[in-house]
Amino acid sequence: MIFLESKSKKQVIYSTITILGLVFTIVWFTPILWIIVTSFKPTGEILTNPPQWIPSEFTSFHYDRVFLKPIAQWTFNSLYITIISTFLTIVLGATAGYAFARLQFFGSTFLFWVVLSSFMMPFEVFLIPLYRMMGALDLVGTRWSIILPSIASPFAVYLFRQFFLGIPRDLEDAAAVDGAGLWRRFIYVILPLSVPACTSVGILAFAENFNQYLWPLLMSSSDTVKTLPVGIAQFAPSTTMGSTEITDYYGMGAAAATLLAIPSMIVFLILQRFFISNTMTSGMKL
Amino acid sequence: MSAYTPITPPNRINQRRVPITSRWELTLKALNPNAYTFIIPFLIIFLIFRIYPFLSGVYTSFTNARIGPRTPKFIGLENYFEVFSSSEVGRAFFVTFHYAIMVVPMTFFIALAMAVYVNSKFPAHTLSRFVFFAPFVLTASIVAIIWNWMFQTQFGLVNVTMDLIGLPGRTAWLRDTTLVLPVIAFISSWWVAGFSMVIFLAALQNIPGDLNEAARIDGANSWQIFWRVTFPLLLPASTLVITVSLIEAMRVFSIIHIITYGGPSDYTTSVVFYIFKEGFTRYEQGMASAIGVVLFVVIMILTILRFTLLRGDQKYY
Repeated sequence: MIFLESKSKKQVIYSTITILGLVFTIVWFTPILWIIVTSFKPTGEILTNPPQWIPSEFTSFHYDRVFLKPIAQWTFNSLYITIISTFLTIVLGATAGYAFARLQFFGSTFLFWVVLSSFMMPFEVFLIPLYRMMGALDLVGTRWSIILPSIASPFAVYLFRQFFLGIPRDLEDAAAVDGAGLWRRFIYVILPLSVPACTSVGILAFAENFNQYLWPLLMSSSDTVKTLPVGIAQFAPSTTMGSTEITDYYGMGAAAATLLAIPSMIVFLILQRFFISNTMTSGMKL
Repeated sequence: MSAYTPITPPNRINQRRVPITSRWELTLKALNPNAYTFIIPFLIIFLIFRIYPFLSGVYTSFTNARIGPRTPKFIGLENYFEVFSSSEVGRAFFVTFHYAIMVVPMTFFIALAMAVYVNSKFPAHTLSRFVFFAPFVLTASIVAIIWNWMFQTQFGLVNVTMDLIGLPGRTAWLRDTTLVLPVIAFISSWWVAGFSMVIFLAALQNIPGDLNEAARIDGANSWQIFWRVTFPLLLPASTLVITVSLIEAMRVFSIIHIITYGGPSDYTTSVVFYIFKEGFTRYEQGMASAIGVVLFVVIMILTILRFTLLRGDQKYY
């Protein structure tokens, strides 16, 4: 009897937690849902009390206005910058990681120590010197000014080094016996085995470079180099705006946010497994 | 092609066996010039865009550099005296610590609850996992636009819903000096909790099932099992989550820049926002660098703390 009682009590707890969990899940997603709904509403229905969840008609009015801004150009800039930086991060990270994993050379221990300690340097410390340097190199307002500072990633080097240490040395020795030099061994033996490490570094670097905000903000004053996150931020109504301006901005802001949020979430949905396993890896990142 | 081909050793092997005698050759071998072809591309970029700016930033913090015609002059520790005496800078640090004290526990407990919930395989847990992690894939400007609208005073969903269920509405969440920082902390938690959840999830999945089993046989209930068995095993993951979110909290900038721009009346001016303001709107770059160096020291302490606490747990770093 006692057993039965505890069983039914258990069921009550189980269903309570299930319901609470589902409610919490819905609440957690509400903001995203609300911005999507808002973006399709006619202007007159945006500012309503009580909230109107289903618009009387779906309009693309706000999207049309968002597209008056050079969204395509920003998207191109973002992809250009992100893809090049990601590729170069992998190239530099893999070669340096290989050197630190396998090769003994003068200063290797010291250099690796320097690379590791650079984890502790927050980007904000060298913001100002970097800014002046870009000025001196005449790179301010170019895409390379955003690409260059992000490609020498100590995290990528560390990740590749750890990965290479796990590859049995015998494979390389076999190639060496056959007369392959260092580069040949690296390209034909090591790299084909390193697809998982490349994907990890690739996904992390892509996400990080795409989401950069402070540095592109300082580097891109004109639309020709502005990235998507910096461009989209313009649609956020600022607290100093008048009320009519703000009404205009909520619809546009919602449309702009939806335009970027939906692809981001679809990419995440497709690559969910990679994302989640790589988030674990990125735990060590600053 | 015969079935058995004798392997003839290539010449190279013989060459390698030749003892190296000349001093030059020895030095060359020690230097391993081939290795440098691997490290040099990285090293050049690393030195130019990371080490040099860092050292230069430390140097700039001892000068009165400004954007403009003035040539920077070495002024010793003057900037640092100002950093530690200026009430504005003190306030920026206070705001950042205050924010961290709110955002770190909030993220920790929300993420832990999420991970335990998802890991217990309740109905629709894959949907929940997707929803919990989804905000993390959004870029800062989307998060800012979403919550700016949610917390709008007259028609934002938060106030309108509070109206609907009869709570006193019309709170100016983002303009109220006491509410704004907790609200920003909450927005941040919503944004990043999914990341911490995944770290907890990975740790939970590594806990062998027999431990729970054993505790259950000894008569422990679920609550006891969680706090006495599971939670202690989550300690390394917890340390990781806390230190990572502390470091991230120290660097909070983007959502503040977009949502409040440091306001109302500097109640959300965090350290990085202050560096931005000092360096790029007032052009006082020496001063901004000095604050940057102080921030670096804080982050360095946190990083060392983290690696010390997690030493031995290879899995986590």
